[in-house]
Amino acid sequence: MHDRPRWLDILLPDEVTAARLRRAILDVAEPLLAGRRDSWWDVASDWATLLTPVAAALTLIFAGLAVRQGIRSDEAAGSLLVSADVVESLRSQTAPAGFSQNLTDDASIVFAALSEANTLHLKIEQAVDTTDVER
Amino acid sequence: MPVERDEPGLVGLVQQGDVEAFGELVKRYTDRAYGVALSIVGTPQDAEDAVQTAFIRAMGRIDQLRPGSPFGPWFYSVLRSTALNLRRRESLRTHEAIPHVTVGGRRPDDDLDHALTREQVLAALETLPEQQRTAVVLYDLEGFSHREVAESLGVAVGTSRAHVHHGRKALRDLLGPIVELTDR
Repeated sequence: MHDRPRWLDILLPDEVTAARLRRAILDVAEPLLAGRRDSWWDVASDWATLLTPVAAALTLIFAGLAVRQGIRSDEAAGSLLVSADVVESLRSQTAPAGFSQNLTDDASIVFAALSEANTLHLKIEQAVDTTDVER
Repeated sequence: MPVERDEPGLVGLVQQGDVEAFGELVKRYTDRAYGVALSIVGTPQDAEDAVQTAFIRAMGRIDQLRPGSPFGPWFYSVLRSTALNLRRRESLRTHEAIPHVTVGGRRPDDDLDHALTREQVLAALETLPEQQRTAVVLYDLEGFSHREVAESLGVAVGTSRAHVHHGRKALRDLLGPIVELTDR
């Protein structure tokens, strides 16, 4: 603080006025500050206490849903497998007249690949079954 | 609580709802805040209302104050806007200007025993533009630096310097040698 002149000190309140003013400010402020304490700490901890079981219940529900969703995904993935019979029957289908020869050739390649994949899948399944039986 | 606690520490406590810390800020600032408010609103009753409202308003907005920031300049910007609103409202309500007290009446040979009356000082301050008046009062009554005055008024530091310089000169012209003699 710099060295200030004193002539403006005439604007300062007398002691009685200053004391009355301070008291009036604090009378209004005290309940508001008490509310502020509640809002900062007490209310936060109250809410935390109230919400803990709710959060636990929600966690359980979502965990159950996640497990169920996982089981369904596995089932859905299983149903996507195409049986060897279907592949063979599709291979025997002839392309409609006017169908591009190139596309027919591409289809043959795809069917061959599907057939191989199915054969491999069956082999793996058989191998697994055999292992289970051996055990 | 220690007698002298740093302001950012007090502000932090008030933010947590500490009544004693708020009381300490009230104790530190009430007197000079009253002087600043009086220079804006012109009457003791309105000055008291402005100071009380400003403290309550500042308490409500205390979270806006960044950690480590000084309370003073921020509080005076709240007080200034509160006092200006009050003054505007009062002038609308009464449909008349703030009572104007004559500045004159001093003879050049008046000695220092004839202290200035509060009415004379207020009347002289009333002739200054509001920012200039508040700058002088914050600088000379509150003892703020130009940086703090600038922060309170929301202006540049250079503008604060200019306001204080021109305001003091105008007051010296109006009030005579007392201002000059005690202006050290």
